[in-house]
Amino acid sequence: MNSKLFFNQLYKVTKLVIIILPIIGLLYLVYLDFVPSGHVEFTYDFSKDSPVLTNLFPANRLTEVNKIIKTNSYWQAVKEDPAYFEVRLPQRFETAKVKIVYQNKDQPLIQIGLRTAGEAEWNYRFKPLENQLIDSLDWSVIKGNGANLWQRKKNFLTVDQFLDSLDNLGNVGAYYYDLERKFILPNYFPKNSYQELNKTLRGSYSFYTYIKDETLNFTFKIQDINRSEGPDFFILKVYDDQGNKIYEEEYKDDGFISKLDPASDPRYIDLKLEDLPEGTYRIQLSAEDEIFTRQIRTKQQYLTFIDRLYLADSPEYSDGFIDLNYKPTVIYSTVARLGFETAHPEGLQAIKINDQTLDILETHKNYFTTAKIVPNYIFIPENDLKIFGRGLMAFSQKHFFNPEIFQLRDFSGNLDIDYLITSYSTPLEVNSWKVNEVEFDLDDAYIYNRKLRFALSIPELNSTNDVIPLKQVSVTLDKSPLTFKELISKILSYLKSNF
Amino acid sequence: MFLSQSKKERFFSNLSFYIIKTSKLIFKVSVITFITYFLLEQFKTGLISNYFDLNILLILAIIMGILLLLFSKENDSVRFKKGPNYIILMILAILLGIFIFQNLQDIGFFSVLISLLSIFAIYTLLSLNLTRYD
Repeated sequence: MNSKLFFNQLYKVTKLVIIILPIIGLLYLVYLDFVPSGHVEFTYDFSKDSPVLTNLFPANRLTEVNKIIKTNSYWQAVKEDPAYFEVRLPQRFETAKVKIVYQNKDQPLIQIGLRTAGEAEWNYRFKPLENQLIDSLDWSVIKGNGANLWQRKKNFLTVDQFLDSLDNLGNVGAYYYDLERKFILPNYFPKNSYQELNKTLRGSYSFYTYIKDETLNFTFKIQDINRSEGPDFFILKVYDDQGNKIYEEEYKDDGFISKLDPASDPRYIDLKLEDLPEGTYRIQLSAEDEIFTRQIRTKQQYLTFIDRLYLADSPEYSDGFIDLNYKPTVIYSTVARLGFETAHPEGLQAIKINDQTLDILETHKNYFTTAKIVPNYIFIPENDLKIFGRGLMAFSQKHFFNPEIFQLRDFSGNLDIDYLITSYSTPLEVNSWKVNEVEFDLDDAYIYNRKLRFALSIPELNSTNDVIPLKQVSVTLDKSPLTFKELISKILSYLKSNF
Repeated sequence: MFLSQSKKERFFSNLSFYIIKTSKLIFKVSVITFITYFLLEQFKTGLISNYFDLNILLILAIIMGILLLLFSKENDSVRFKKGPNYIILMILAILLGIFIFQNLQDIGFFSVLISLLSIFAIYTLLSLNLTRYD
């Protein structure tokens, strides 16, 4: 065969291969996009941009990307909370598992949040990546059934044994684990008398209450201090124990919008809801710090505040309110990790948490402490203080109840819990880097532009000079494997919707 | 010996002809594939880019285009008579413009402006450089 003929034949074969390759390539890419196995994993290791996982943002909360000397590894640190990243979804998935390789020494809590659909613009469902309060418990731990069981005294050898005995057990708590148990207060009877909370609370708050065969009955005495420009409205909402909103009312400003206006006269806001089933209800007042609640009057017996209280019975506010009660306040609390902040010199004081003392020496600074014993009593001599943390507080033990026992948001060894079941596991440590993962159900995920957004939250980071280095972010997406019938129906529905 | 030398020459001539034809084919296929994949990516973001870097096709097309312009024996007679292959030049300039745009997207609107100016500049420069002024 002469060379011309040979190269002509070779060209024909080459032409066929070169033309077919992109077609096969496209079919393969479409096949990958369908994710027929139902399982796909994407990883971002900071060495170069990923087409699927975005870089962390916003940039001003992060350090530069750095290379680890003598390795091919890179890292970037979060210096301010929160930071975000997104993952592009090739298909609709059922669950997402986020795995992070990071370093952390002193931050007690690191969380990953999934952006969910909801009424607020910033709506995230958080799960713990690392909770040092739980990690430091000297309880026994066993794993099984997708959960970890912490026991004060080891009475069960397996998680299944524990779950089988659950109905006969008291003193059980659940932390990020769905026990599917409705919280009911046994031996609860409604009372027909009113009780009053005569404490001044500033700004927003929310609390739990409990009813059975009675009207949900509250009256709020509200005043607007009018220290800043603009109208000050507030919103009252009520949620049932499933988190469904059952009531909402917005209240307009008092008519005084200038900062030179005096404080408003008291307004009495009535909340009366009848024919509600027995159970726990959450009442939320959303307001700016211009709005003060001077009194809460109710027939309900329980009034347990959630995460935040801003005590305002202080001479600081005597220019607006004449009948403030300057007596020290005692709070009954189950908040494991407490935060305090005051905005005024009047709020500088020494707080006692049982026998622990915490000195608030500067204004506009967050002070944190871990309560040695939970629950405990917090003694606040001067008021004018914001108290915050993940947990519950009440102005007396008789008004306290814990409907979150099966949905704890933090835990440090509460005296009234002997068993804690949780989906949280302590991070593994590998070569000075920690690894842990968090799984999310994507039923209520907010998907925009085919992307899921995640938040990395380190609640106490902004009060410190600490940073959290990250070495790798992986997202594993799972759904049921694709059957041939489903594939055809997907293609047909895609063609119908677009053509 | 004379015969074997001429055989060698014919072999290498056929080989270079094969390489040039193949390069031209790769150039055409990579441009068409790039455009097709790019359009599919607009239909569904991530369909291609999640798993395949489109820049690979772009760079392949650019390299093949440059090689074709520089070494295309087939075009020589055309070049001497009419000048460079303007279609290949235009495609090359557009591809380079797209490449520049993709790498400058962060700067917003100016990336479009810079890309368009680049296309014009590249096309002008290449067509001037490849024109013979005999």
